[in-house]
Amino acid sequence: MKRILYILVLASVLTSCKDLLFEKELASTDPFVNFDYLWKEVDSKYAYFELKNVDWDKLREIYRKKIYSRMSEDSLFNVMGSMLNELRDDHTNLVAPFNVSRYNAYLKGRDNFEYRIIKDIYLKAGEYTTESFRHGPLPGANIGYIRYSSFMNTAGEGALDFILDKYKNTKGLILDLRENGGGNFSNIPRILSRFITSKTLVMYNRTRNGKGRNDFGPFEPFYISPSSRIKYIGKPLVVLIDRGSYSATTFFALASKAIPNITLIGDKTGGGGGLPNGGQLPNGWTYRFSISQSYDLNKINYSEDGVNPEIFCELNWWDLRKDDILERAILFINSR
Amino acid sequence: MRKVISFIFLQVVLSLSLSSFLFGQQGSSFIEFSSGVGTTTFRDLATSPLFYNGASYTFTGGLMRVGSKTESHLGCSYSFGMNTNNFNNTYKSATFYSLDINYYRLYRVNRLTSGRWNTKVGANILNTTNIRENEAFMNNSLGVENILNIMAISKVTLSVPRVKGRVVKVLFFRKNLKPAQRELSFSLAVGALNLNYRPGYAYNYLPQITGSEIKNFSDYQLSVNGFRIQSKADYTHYLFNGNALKLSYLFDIYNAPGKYEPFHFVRHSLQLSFLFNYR
Repeated sequence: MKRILYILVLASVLTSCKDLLFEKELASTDPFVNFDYLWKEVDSKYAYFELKNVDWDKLREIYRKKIYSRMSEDSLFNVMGSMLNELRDDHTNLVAPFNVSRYNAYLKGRDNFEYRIIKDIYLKAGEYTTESFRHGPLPGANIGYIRYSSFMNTAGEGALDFILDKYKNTKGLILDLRENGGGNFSNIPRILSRFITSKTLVMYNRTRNGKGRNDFGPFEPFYISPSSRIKYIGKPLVVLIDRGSYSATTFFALASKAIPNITLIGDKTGGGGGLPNGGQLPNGWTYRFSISQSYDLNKINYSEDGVNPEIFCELNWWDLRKDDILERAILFINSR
Repeated sequence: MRKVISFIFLQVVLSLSLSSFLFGQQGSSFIEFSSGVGTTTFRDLATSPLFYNGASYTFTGGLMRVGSKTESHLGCSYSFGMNTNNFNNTYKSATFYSLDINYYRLYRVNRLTSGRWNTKVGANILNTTNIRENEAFMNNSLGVENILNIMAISKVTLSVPRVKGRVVKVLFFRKNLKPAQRELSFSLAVGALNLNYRPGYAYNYLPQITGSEIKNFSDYQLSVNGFRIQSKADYTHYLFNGNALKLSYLFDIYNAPGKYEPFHFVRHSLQLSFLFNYR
């Protein structure tokens, strides 16, 4: 009987030992606790303090003064969201049940895209919708126009086969990535692999790996291998970009610079050259921010602020009978 | 290279264990199938300071050999469930899948064995792979970790046979209970060598997802730290044909600190097992 008692006591102690064995419960709605937690997470993992010349310690001083113990959740959100916006990074957001903070990089430049112009003027004979792509031949130009509005939508191999086969006899292709806000990275090599003939190094990446703000892991090369399916080789591909081209589209633009027959036309991309990670605060809100950097082949890091086009061009909103950026792309292909 | 060595080490240990299990001892052999329900609680401090709680369901299959001097068990267990956190009305949910592979071998301790009491001690190797998905964490939504524990285990068994048949009446129901062999046992395993394979510093690693040149787990780190405790209380009822039914309560708790931020896990589970005697 004594032995059974020992066993029962041991069993009950063990089953209640979660709180003894783990660190304390960290859930809290205290504004100071949440502010400090967020500041520290960003401090220990954010990737672009130096490139963006952000004094994160000073920002802590400025914004922590705005915190007080009985502030409303809305006020706390506004203070912490404003602090994150100082990073000038659309991969950095604070997400509460009632609001999401955003920097809105695309608003820092001009709007350069209106699909209605494309549809009314250039594709008025009709357009194809092949999975995630809308496309059609440009009238009188022997050039194929392809609109890919979001990397969130899969660039299917079958769709790419159909499109590249349809335009195989054209002089060139225009891939319109304006206002493409990004999405799934795996679509980048899937598309670009159709425009190369050999394995190509397109960029380098490195990821934060220590508490020091300049602690990063090694430069990791990013290669793209040629597709074994239908390709479009030896003819120009023009990629249209603007400030609304963000994240995966910035990566795409950066990678395009390493491929000789691709030319970027339009405005600088919005940036977003870092991979955002995500997490949760002690009060249950979530956040994300960039933890990696992307570099061109010369190991220069500029993509976070945007990738410049080879040919700069803007839409003239005073004359909506034509898309100036598309017209410049047609001119470029015809000149080759 | 370190990962390859770890993997080979695990394979060798499991292979040796299996051969030992199949050829090494005397006693009754059982094939075990069980299912169970329970609760799990976990917290991955790399992505959240909050605990996620939820129900879990477990299915287990295994081979067991039980003798008066030795006992061994080789089993595989699959658990799944949905864990949630609703602190401050910020509801978030995480799906949770876990695969356990374990092998233990026990030897009788004569000094602690007498009459109806049997005490055994030995070693337990337990490998757990967890896959968790919490969409609220965006690019960090997927959490994968592997935890390998080499544990010291002890098991105390009390034989409580029903020597004489008796009749039980409950209201209008009447049941003849025949003599039967029954056992109560309690086992406790404590991690002696605790290994875990957890994400790197930033949790997410860009080269892992940049397209065609995917390097899965390229930033994962192998660490030797943390702890694991697993206890189990069983009631086993042997049937006249040599098969048995077993009702178990399992408690499993571990901490996998990794190199940077820890993963905490607790499980309570009630399981019903069918043991089919095959030798």
